[in-house]
Amino acid sequence: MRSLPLAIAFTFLVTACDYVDLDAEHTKGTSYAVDAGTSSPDPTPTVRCDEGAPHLGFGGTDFTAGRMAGAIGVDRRRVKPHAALASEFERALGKVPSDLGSSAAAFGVVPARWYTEPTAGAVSLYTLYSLAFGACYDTMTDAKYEQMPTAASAAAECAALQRKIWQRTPTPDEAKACVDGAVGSTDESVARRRWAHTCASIMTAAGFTTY
Amino acid sequence: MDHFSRRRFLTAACVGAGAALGARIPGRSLLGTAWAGTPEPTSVVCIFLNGGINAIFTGADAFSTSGAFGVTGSNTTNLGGVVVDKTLADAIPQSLHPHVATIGVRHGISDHSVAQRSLFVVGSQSAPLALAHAIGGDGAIKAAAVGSDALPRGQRPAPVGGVSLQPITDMKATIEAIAGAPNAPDRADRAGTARGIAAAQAMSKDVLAKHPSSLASVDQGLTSAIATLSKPVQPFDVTEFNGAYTLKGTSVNTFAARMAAAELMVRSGTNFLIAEDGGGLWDTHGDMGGTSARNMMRQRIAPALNVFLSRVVAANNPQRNVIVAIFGDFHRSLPFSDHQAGLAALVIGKGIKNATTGKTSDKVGLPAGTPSIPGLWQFLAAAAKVDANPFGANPHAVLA
Repeated sequence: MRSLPLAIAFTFLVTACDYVDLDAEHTKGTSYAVDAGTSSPDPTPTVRCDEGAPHLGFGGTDFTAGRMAGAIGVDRRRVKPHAALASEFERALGKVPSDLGSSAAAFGVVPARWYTEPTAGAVSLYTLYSLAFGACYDTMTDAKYEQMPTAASAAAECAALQRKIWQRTPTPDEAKACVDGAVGSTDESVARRRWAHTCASIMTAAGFTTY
Repeated sequence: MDHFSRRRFLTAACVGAGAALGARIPGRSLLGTAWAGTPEPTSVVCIFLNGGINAIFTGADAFSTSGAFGVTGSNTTNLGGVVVDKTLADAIPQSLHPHVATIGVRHGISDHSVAQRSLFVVGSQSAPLALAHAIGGDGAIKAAAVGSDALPRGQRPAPVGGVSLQPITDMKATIEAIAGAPNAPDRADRAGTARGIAAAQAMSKDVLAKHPSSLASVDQGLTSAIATLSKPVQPFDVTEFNGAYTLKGTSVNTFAARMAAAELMVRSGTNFLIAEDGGGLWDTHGDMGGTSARNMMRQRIAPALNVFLSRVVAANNPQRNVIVAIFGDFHRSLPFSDHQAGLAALVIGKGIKNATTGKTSDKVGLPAGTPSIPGLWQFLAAAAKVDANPFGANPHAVLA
């Protein structure tokens, strides 16, 4: 008897809606970045729940009439709050910048006992880049970072860093942008700093700063 | 090698204040660019008293007979036709007294939420951003909220003509972004950072395209960061700056810090700034004698306002046209200091004429025919001397 309600509930859930994992890139490890806005290789239309069922009030007015239908998966990502950055730095680089805590104000002033949705700005992104550069530089002690980036080495390193830091495989355009940045900054004469700039740019991209 | 520390930062005279400073000071131009939207470097600074502004700060003489809000013959100052409470008048340098006006705004709104949203919108677009866009210039950050990431009531307006509202919440980080940071092997250099953030923006293109609304601030922030870092730097004395505003930390979380941040941004070429105070503290219900409003003006606003006006706005400052507008949601009504459906803004600037269109009656009412919210922005744009007023003709022509 106890299993009957569970079975009914399960059946209802299965038949009511075919759930689509919109952040599949984070969990399934596919080679396609669904969230990155690229065209999907799968021509099958996305299965979705019925939306916008009318909710009529006593006056016959549909409460949902003014709602705009949004595309699935669009405008879902949000800016990571400063509070999340320590563990994110640890995950991505294995190091938390020592100045991260004292830089909290650069990421916004939130009144006590209030929640405000984090936003980014020129100063917060600059600060994040600076923090990331220091952390990247400190962790890039391997001998391979003593060699200036080449197109080949940058492609390999960008792919590895982007996959690790963003937790998904970069699109071809994202990979190219990283390589261009790594091999293009020719006026930096210290190889390790060149690589640290590349790493910091990946850490400042939306793949890391948002979720 | 040297490593950066806060102490070192605060004590060193570092390089800074942004290219726009140099580019916008006549005779010291680094870039030699013509000023696009106004005849001289121009900034409009709005000080918003969240909750409302008592009319004793915009026309105290209306109550000199009735004594409402505690007005007496000894606690007001005549600035030359504009009579305001002494707590505010004392914060305005003597040289600016002939350049103070009050602007009537008969908006008919007595609800905080509606007033705070409406005051910053003209038509369908953000008035501050439209003004910042019209002023033009070459500042990297053209509009900023100091001590906040939004306009009052959390409004985050859509960009106007590519001008977005940037949050300024930390002095140290802002000065570094504008003026550069000390060098060290493990610290990013300015040029490399500009290129690196440009690479980050290129890497973000697809994600930002798919989340244009929820990540709008990221897109705008990356663009502004690159523009800021692409400017050359100017000498900037941090110690002197912190001393002037008696700053004790780097977070922009006090009114003094907001005014300091405002000066920094004005000097770096920002066209529009808003400094909000109070978070509702100015909603002074029951303040029949005006005591609460006076105390807040004296303690919270006046000291830093005086520093800012003296250093940045003073009439003998030939380098830039800086206009300060002080206002709130609406005036406080009589007899219980509740919500009056109209207000006046106190405006200070070297090009402002000494007059008022915002003098209230002894019941805090504004004359019929007093312009509403667009009139305030039409006036501010006219005072900024923009080439083309985006809001229409100035109805307060007597003032600017």
